[in-house]
Amino acid sequence: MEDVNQAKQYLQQHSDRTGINLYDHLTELLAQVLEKRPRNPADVFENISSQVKRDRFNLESIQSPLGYKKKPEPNPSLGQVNKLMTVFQSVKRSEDGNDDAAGQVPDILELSGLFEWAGVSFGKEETFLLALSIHQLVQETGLQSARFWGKLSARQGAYYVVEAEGAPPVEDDPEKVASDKAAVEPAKPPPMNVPEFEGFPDIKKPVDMSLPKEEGTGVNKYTYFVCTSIGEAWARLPDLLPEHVTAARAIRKYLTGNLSTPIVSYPLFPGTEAHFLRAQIARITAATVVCPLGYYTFDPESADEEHPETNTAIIVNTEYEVLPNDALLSLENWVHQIPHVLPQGRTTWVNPVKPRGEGEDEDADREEGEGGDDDDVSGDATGGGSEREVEPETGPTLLTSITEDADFAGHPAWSVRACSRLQPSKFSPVHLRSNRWPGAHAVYYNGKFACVYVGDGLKDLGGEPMPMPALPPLQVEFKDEPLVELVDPSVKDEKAFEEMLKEKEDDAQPDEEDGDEEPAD
Amino acid sequence: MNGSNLHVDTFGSKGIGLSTEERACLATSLVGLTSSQAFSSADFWGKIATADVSKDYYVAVAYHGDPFAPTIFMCQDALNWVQAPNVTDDEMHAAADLRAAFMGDPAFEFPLPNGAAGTLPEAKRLTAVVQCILRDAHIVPRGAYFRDSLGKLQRNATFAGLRPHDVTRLASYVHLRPAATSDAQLARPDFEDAVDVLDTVEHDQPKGCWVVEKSVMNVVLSSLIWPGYHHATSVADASFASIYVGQGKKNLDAGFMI
Repeated sequence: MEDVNQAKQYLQQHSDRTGINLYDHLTELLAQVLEKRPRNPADVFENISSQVKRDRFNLESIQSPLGYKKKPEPNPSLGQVNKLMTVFQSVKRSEDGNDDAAGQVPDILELSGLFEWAGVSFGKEETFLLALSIHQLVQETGLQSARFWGKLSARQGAYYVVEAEGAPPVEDDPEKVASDKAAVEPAKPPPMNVPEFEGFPDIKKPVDMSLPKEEGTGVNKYTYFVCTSIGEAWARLPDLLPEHVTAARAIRKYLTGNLSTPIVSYPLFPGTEAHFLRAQIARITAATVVCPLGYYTFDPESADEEHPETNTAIIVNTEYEVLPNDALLSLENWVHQIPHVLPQGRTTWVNPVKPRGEGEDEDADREEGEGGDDDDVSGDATGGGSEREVEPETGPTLLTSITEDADFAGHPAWSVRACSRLQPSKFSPVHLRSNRWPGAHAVYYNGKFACVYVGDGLKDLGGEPMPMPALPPLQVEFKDEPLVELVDPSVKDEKAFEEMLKEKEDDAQPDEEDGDEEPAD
Repeated sequence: MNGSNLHVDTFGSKGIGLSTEERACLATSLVGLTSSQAFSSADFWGKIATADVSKDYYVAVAYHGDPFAPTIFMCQDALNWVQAPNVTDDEMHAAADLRAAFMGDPAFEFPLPNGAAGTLPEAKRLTAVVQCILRDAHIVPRGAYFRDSLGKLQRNATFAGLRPHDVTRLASYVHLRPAATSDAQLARPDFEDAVDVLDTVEHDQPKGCWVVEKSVMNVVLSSLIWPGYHHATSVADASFASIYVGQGKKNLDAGFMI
């Protein structure tokens, strides 16, 4: 008994460092182990022991596991949740259910089931919230139709993109456009209040060399709305200018998640992230939105008599026969649905060199002649002043099969599979994936098809290193010609020379009719 | 990695999901794989996309108990797993520099990059890429693994998840690899020597190479160096999972794009 008492006394000695004693510690430890009954208690013994020690200093009860605080902390997700609640409460159902004309949105939940077969899934709850949010957008903005385009990942968050048709036009604010431009150009000094001075020639306005943007057709046929998380307000992306596309083709940057971030790159990108995002969306859409052969056909009514081959209006083919899933496994049965974007940045070509003879003076003509060399199709630069023969750029026409797409890095630009290996083909959706734009998917199942993009918005490099544009060549020094030094005439010499010329003129004057003979200086 | 990366909603915020058929095949075949060679665990690691979508690789990683010694399995149909060949360190470095896409044919030979002579078969490239990603990008929450009194790294059975204000901080995630730096002691005020034996993600270069996306259910960290690697930690409970769905190419230009 003595030994036991001594041992117990020893065990109840308080540690001078931490103030605990082993006896109490072991008591609590065994109490915890018996309460929780973990698997392999002997193995996790040290763990529980250190946990008990840590929790000892908690003012709250010790039986809580690590990380649990009795004091209720505000949930960091609360902000997000509140925004989601607005989505739940926003959608109003129309009483008579007349949604045949306006506000058409495809059945997103059904399509999400298809996309899941392709390996693209946002999770059922998130997809449902997305569908609600899109309905809300369509109702609030009065869109004619909308489609979920995809999700682009960014460095802080992501962008959900909706492609819409029939959005009310936005006043193209010249001040706003100018302010966007001012964001990237150096600020001009404020004009000074100088009185009219007749001596100087008129300052000509610089000629705007940029190509006209396509209004309402071509790349700007659809409007795009983005939001950074479901529940946030949808922001409308600006219309696409051709220079945005050409600049976006030359750079490779991750999106940041904030539409007003400037793009810092070389070569310079004339815009903010909103423009870059819009350009990438346009490129991806033109390259990867596809449909089964025969689903669309050219609209005979809107064909231009002069240029029947440039018809870009397509309508649903009323005589379409639904192809079986097997047929869509061959790439010939998929065709492009969106017009190709030319190197110029538009879908229809526009001659960048303005034609002559419109009453402009010589200086303006010369400027235009020099400025028309952004076309890389025709290579002859014959110097200023002459009208350049610029070849029109062409691209694949609408509704061409995707087998015509150029091979990419040695393999085809598209690959296709039946999503289900084990089920018969009539239950197996067909999944088409792009190699040029990784993240672009199309799925077809018994007559239903849809396209989606989930990725970072960048084209695949195709096995090549990232293109680094070469800096312009250094200016070359002038050739080493022998310099001849002239003697600067003194004032006396100048005066003598002038008097000599004057005498010559006086002599020659009675002989001349028109006095435009200039002295040879 | 406890199988929750098979759940369709875990990586939903990245748009990554597996079809029902894939999940069914994987869940069953991985159980068979675990017992075939008496592994302690076999997890679905991810998919490597190839130039032909019908030939994408499924990759599983199995352990005998040591988290630093994985055995890598691959297959193209999510059912019949084949062990991927071992690779040397040189081959690992070579594979990280390759820019060509995977072809879908395990016997395809890739010419070595940077002008070196020789070729690398695709099966070895796959192993090399998986090992590179496990070394460079694979992360776990801090506290999920600890070093026990015998010095061995163990999974923490009593891990209760990260605290809500810690779950979006990069310093709460660690690489699951032999630690490179030994100055962890100075790094944080709540240093614990059993837990802080692994490098945190906070100082990974280039800065900004980890993207943190928080949703209501979980927080997903994505790597920009190996685009396609994602790690999800649940905010509600203690589960976490990693997955790789990508092309098996390292983003060698990440510094220019960030």
